[in-house]
Amino acid sequence: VVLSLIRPFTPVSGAVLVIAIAGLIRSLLNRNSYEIVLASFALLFLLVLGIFGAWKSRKLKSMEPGWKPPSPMTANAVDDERQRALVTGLEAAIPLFFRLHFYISGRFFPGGLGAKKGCHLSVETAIPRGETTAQIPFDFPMSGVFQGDGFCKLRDIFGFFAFPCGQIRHSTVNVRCAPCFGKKIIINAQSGAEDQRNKPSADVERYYQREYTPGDRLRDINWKSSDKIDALITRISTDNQEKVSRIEVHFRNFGYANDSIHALWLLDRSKARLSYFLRSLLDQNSSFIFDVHSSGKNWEIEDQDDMDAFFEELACLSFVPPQNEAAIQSGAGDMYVFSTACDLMLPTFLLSCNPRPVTLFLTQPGDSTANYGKNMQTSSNDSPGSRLKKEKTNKDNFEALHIQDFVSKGFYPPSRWFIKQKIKPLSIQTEKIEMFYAEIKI
Amino acid sequence: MKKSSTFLFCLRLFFYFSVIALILIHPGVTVSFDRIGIVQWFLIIPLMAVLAFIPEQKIKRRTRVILSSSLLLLLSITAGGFNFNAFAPLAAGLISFTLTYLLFNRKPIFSRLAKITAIEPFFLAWVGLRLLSLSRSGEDIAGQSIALTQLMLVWTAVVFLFHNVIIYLCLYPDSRIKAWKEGLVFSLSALAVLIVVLFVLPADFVRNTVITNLISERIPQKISQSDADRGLLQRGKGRRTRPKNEGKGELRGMSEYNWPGRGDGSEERRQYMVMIVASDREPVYMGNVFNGQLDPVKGFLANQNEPLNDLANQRFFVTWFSNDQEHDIGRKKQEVFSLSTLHQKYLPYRPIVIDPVILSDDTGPLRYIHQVVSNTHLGDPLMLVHKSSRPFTALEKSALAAYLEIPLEEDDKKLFEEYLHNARLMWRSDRNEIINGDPYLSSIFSGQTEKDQSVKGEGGNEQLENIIALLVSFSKYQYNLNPDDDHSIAALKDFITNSNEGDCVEFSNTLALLGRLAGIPSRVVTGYLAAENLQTEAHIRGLAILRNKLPVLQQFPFENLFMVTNLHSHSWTQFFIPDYGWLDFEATSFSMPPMGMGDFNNWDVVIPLFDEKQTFSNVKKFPWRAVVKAVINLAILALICAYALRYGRELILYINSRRASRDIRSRTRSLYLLLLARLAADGQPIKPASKTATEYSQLFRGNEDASCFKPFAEIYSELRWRQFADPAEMETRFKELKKEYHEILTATRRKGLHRWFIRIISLRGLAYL
Repeated sequence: VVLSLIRPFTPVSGAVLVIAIAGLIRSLLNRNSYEIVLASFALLFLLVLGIFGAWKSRKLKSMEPGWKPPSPMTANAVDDERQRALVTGLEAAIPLFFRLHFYISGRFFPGGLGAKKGCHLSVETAIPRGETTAQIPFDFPMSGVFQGDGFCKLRDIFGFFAFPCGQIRHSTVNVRCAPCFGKKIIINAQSGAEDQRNKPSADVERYYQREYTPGDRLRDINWKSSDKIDALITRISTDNQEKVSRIEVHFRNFGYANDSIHALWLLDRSKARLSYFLRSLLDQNSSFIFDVHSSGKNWEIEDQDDMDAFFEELACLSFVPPQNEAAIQSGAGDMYVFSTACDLMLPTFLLSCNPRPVTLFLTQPGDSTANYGKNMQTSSNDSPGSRLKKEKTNKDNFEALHIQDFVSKGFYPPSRWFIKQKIKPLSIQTEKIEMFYAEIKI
Repeated sequence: MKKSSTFLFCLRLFFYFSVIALILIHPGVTVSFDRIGIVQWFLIIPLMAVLAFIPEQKIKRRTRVILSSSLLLLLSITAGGFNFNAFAPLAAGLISFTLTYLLFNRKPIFSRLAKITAIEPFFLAWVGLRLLSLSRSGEDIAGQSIALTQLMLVWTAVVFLFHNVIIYLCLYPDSRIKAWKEGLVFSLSALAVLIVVLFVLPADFVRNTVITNLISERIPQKISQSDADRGLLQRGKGRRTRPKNEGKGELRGMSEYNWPGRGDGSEERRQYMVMIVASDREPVYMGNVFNGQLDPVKGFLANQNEPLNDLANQRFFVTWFSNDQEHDIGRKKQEVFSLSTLHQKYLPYRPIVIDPVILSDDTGPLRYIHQVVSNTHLGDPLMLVHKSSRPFTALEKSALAAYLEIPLEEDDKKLFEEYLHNARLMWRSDRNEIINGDPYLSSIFSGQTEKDQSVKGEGGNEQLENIIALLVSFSKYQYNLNPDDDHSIAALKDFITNSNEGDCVEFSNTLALLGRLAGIPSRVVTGYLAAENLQTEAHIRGLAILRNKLPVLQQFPFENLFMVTNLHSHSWTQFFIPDYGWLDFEATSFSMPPMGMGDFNNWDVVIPLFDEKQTFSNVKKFPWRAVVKAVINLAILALICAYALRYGRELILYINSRRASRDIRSRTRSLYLLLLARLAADGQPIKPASKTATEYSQLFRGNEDASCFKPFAEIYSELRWRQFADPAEMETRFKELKKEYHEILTATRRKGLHRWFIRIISLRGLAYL
């Protein structure tokens, strides 16, 4: 009962209450009339405002406000509209000197629910009197999972009271990583990654060909095959002329550093790189099929719907402890590996891939100058100038997470995030390697 | 949203000024702000707020920081100098800037921090409460504050609540929609409450326990020994073992409600308690008037430009600190607390910290609490006779020139010089006999051994020798209470030549005059003397009773308390001694003591007797004069602000339109706004915010000066919105615009002296803010 009485008080009204009570006691002892008047007025004002607010909030108890985050929810949305959640169901008459406030409060787990504690998020908006819908700032600086409640409070414009009202709506939101952009990825369809589905020998003649239909050009007729199968057949294929390619992708979210924001940021950037890779390739050629392997889970992505579903799951992927993986199946074609500097088993994995060509996309911490170019594969023919240029380009292409972004978006970042934790860069050898640098700015 | 922010900012500034301005008009605050205070409260704080308020789009972050910090530093140092005094304005400016920036620059990163601005209303409310408490600092002040007090009471609450609303609306900009309705309702309610308060609350409700002395003199009752014994220290313990002065006066008491105030009680041979002084050193010479100006007829008069005289009469809003460096040797801090029946301050020389006067409710007629810290001279100043003296430097001579002036008639001067000569002669000739014959002098000169010889070798302390010679010369003069405070030259002449009898007034004034003739800068100080040897048994018994009754006195050791009565009102001489500064000298030290009932130590001592009951005054009258005064003052202030705003804005727009460094678009805009403001001042229609310049020219058409505005509007629109490939063309068009501007003003200007006057005083241009 005491808590329910105290809860509506804000720090301002708490201070006013304490000062007014102290003033009233003192003034009664001193027989100080103006202090008696002022203290009584302050107490009376608080009492009236409190009673009225409590009564009104009780009337609004059955209100069911809803909140809907933008879909899909992407971190660091550029578009202003996509940084806001829509609040609905606010049909209630609000008295003068009062406003309805909508709050979203909960815990955000960067990099997925694997993160131990996450950080608290609380955002708030005041709804003008008479409005039934509103928008509330709702944005995240990196990918992860948000679990929180949306609820209303009735506040007076003097800043004295905040009465809870209406129903609480719980929700879980997967936050996709913010997009990243890099150089265009081109994969040669003639590589070993082409479609290896076997065709029956009887169909060989028909493969890439079809029967003649009136209107086809005569020169397209394959007279030799037509003679063989005793029917007019043209060189016009019903199948797409391009070869279907299957691209094998390994997303390595191995690591121990589940509670380190530095590690989680590397994972987020690795996810962003993977997303960009998949999206850009699918945009290039819709016939690509991606086999994505992650820790204990595989996906086959054929179209945009598959990709959307994959991105939703990717948002929740957090670090898993390194494990002994089965030997890589022998197969043809390139392998694309996305990993972070936290992946200590990566060199072993790369060795096991031999002799398949591997392209590694490695996300490294970028705040150590010593790292620039250290692990970058450079040929001995590179001149010092070009090497410097390469390093500079990498410096400029940093993707930085600003801790202040958490604060500005309504988060309460835990203090442990401000303590830098060192992540060891890996020593790796592979045929093609692309380094990405990500850093934290506090 | 931008306009509403500006409105909220102006409102916030208005509330700030309204509260600070109340300090200016409050009758309880005679000197409200010193130079630093004025710069801090009226310049730095608003200026920093304005600089912090300017939107990000109009000023670069770096420019804002450089401009604000340099202005703040400059103003703080100008006001406070290169020392600690500059800290307060600096801190105030920083706070003002930070809070305004947090409140109005709605960057997401600051949204949470901005909530600390909730402290602002508390500060303004504190000022309001403080002023209300000052309204009770005296009967006269309470009387003068009638109605203003009621206004302040309501205004404090209104400012607190409204300021909270401003902060809320700034923190949640979405909630500003339709908020004007609530503002209107709140303002009307506040007005209604004010009217109710003005009529319902008694006019002098704030006076409380301030007593009106309607009952004439009553005979004080005797206080029996047993009443006082409870609090009286046992003899033989502590410093105060027994009264130094064995007076025969009795202790009497009088109800606090019948307390007569500052009567002299001479007819009844009674002395009335004036104050109780607490100090760990004695005697405490507490001066109120410093008389350094010698008039050839009237004698010593108060210096017009003496800061100490101002200081003693000022009422402080906050604690006063001395900014002067301490150069004098031998001074030590002395804290003097006094519980007084008088609101005037009495300051031991040299005050360094003075607290505002506190009105105490529980101490009856002793309702004023004064606290002063002074750097007082340690020990008897006559002991400096052992120290070698030095002549005055040129700087000292020029600074002390006023205290060396002797504008006497030739005859008068001759008379006093003769007296001085004789006194010196007597001292030189009979020095050893005089010293040996007087125990006090013997104690002073007891250390006159080898060291003294060396002093003599250096010439000795000529000034102190002269002062002692003069003091000793008074040994043939009789001290007697004299109700007449005549200190004219004629009275002094009569004192030394004829009557040879007087009280502290005659002695101190004569000593100061003779000192000047001897080349020592001098002045006469009047005030009260608290000393152990003025405490008779009746005083000590009274002290014990009052200490027992008043908890505020129990914080001090009993031996540090001194009762001061109306007969301890005193006059003494201050001489300026090089390296030691102004020192207090007791002119009556060697005079013949009074006898019998002439010795006021034999008079009865009257103290107030406390009663738990309190009475509230029932006087009910509406203080129209004070209300009108307050309203007029506020209106004048508002008017001054409005004109400052109008002319300041027009000046800025004019400068902006002329500045070649600005781009033409912004110069065009400035010129346009200036034209609108000037047309409005001349009675032309106000342009609605929704209308463009061209649309406004159509509005103008209904007027006789119609067609002249259209070309200006066209050029203005072109300059404002068209992309010019050639900057020279743009420049040409701008020149044409300026020409049009002048033509419009000439064409639309209405003739006649009254129109000119209206143009000067009109505030219609403020509609475009």
